[in-house]
Amino acid sequence: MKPEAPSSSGHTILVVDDTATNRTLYQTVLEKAGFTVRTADSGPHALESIARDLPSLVLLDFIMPEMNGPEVLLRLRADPRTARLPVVVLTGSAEPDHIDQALEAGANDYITKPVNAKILIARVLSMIQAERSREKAFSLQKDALLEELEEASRVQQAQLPDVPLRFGDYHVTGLLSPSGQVGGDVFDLVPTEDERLVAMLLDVSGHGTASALVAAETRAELRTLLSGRSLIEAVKRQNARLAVRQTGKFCCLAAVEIEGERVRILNAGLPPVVVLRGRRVVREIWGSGMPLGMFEESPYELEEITLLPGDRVVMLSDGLTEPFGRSDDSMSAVERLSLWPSVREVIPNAIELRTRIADLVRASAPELRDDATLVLLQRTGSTRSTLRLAARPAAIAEAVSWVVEQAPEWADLVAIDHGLTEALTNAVVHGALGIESTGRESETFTDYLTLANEMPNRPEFSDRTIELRVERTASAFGIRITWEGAACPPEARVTGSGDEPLRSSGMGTRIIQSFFDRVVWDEDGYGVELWTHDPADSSRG
Amino acid sequence: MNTAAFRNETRDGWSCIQLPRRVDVSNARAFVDLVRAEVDAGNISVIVDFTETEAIDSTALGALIQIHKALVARGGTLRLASVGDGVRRVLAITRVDRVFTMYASLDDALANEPIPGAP
Repeated sequence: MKPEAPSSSGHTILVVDDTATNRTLYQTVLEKAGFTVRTADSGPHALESIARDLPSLVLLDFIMPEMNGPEVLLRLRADPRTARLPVVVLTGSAEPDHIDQALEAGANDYITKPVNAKILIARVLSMIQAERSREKAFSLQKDALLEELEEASRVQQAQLPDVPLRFGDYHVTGLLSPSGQVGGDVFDLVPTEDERLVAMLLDVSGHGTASALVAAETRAELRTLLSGRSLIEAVKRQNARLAVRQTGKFCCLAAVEIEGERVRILNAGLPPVVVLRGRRVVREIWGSGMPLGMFEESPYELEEITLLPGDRVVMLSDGLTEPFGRSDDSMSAVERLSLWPSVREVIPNAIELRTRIADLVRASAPELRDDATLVLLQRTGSTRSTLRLAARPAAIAEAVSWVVEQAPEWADLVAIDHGLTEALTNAVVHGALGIESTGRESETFTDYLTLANEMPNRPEFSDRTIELRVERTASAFGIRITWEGAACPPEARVTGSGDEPLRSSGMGTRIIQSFFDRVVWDEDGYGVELWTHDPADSSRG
Repeated sequence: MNTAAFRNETRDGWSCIQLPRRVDVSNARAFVDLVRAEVDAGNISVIVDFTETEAIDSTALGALIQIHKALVARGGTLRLASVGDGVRRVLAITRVDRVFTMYASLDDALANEPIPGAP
C-alpha cells in the first residue's frame, strides 16, 4: 500500500550508517515517501546531530566502527530528552543475536538487511504514528492532570481560613504562595471551645501533591487534637502519629497559642519565630523539637511571652528565608517584606504583601523556589501593669528597671531613667517620711538618706508603699506614681478647668515635665500620671 | 534510578558518599537508593561527605533521616563530614544536628575525631 503523503510530511528521519551507499539508498527511498532526511556516518556524529535538532525517528545501523548501534542506543536512552525517541535498528538477517542486543539496548523495532523499500517505509510510518498516538495520549493525560492540579490548588486555597481574623485584642492574618499548583505549606487559625486561639503554619517536606496531602491531613488532625488539649500535648500526639505512618514526609510547624493575656509559642523546624516591638526584635523563638514525624518523641517546648499592644509575631516558612541565603535568617525576610509592626496598619494590605512575596520569588534562583507562607499576629488594645514597692532607696532602681521593661521603646531610656529616678526619689522621701507639704521645705532628700542610713529599721521606712502603674496602647503609654499616706505635693494639684498652669514644687516633677508630653496629677493629688506618645509612630506620619 | 551525581568509594571499610552541590527533590531519592544498596550489600558504616554541597532542601533532609534510621536498624553508623555553613543552618533550625555526629573532614570522620563541641 502506498503510504499517504500527510503521514510522512513534516517528519525528519536521521539515517545513521557508516556505508555511504547505504545512506544514499535509504535517503532516496525515504525522501520519495515524503520524509525529510538527515544522515550521519558514525555513532558520535549521530549523537551530535540529535543533540542539535531532535529528529522524528532514527534509522540506526547495528554494526559501525567507533560506536556501534547498541552503544548509541544506550546513550540515547540514558538522556531524558531522547529516552523515548523512536529508533529502528538495521541488522543482518544472519545475526539473530543482534536483534536481541538491539531490543535490549532500547530499540523500538528492527529491519533486517537487505532492506526492502516498502517494508522500510511501512515500519518507519508505523513507528512514527505509534509515537504520535503515544504523545497524544500523554498530552491528554497531562492536560487532565494539570486540570486536576488546578482544581486541587483552588481547593487548597479555599480551605485556608478566612483572614484577617480578630480574636479579642489580637489580629491575625496569613498568606500562602505555593511554588507549584499545590504545595506542602498550609496555615490555619483554630479557635477552641475553651476560648483559645491557635495560629499555626505547617510546612511539609518536599513539594507537590504528596506533600499537600500530608499537610492537609496533619492540619485536620491537629484541629481535632486541639479540642480539649493544650497546644504542646496536641503537637506531641501528632508527632507520634506521623512518625508511625512512615510516609517519608515530615512536618515543620510554628504555632502561637493565645489564651487570655498569655501567649505561648512553639517552633519545630521552621525559621525562628520573631516577636517585634517597634523596630526591635524582643524575642526569637528557635525550634525546640524536631519537625513532626521524624522521630516518635522529641523535646517540644513552649515559650510563654507577654505581648504588649503593638507587638507583632511573625511566623515564616523557609521559602521566605532561603532566597536571602540563610534559611535561619527570619529578619532578612522581615526587612525585605517590610513586616515591621505598624500602629496605623495593624494588618498589612494583603495585595501589597502578595506582590512583595511574588517579587521576592521572581528574584530568587529557580532552584530556591519553594512554597512561601507567612502568618502575622499583632496585638492591639491596652495593657495595665502594676508594681508595688516598699518606700526604700532600693525601690528607685527597681522601679526604673521595671518601667523600662514595660515600655522600652517609647521614650529615651536616659530620660525615663532620670525622670523616674526623680519621681521615685520624691515618692520614697515623702512616702517614707510622711512629709506633708508644709514641712517638706525643711526636710530634704539628703535628710532622708541620712535618716535611712542611720536608722534603717525605723518603721516608717517599711510600712509605706509606692505604687507604679503602667498603661500602654500601641501608640501611647502612661506611668502613674502614687504614694500612700503623704499628700505630696498638694499645692501642685491642677485646679479649675485646667487652664491654670501646672504648678509643682515636687523635686522630680519639673524634670519629668520636660521629658514627657504632659503630666496629670492624680485626682486625689497623691500622685503624678505621665503620658507620652510613640515617637516612632508620629515620625511615620 | 540515576545515582551518577553521587560519588561512592570505600575507604577503611567505610562507604564514603560524596554529595553534589545541591541535594533536593530532584536527586534525594537517588541518594537514598544508593545508600540502601550499600546497606543491602552489608555496608553499614557510611560517611556522607558534604565537601561540595552548598544547600539541601527538606526532601534531602528527609533522605538523611531515612538513611540514619535504616542504618541504625541494622546496627550501622552514619557520619557527616565537611558540613558547610548553609547545610549546617538547615540541620540546626530543624534540630536534626542533635541526631548526627559531624566531622570537619572526611579524614576526621574516618579517624572518628568529631568536631569539638558539636553534638
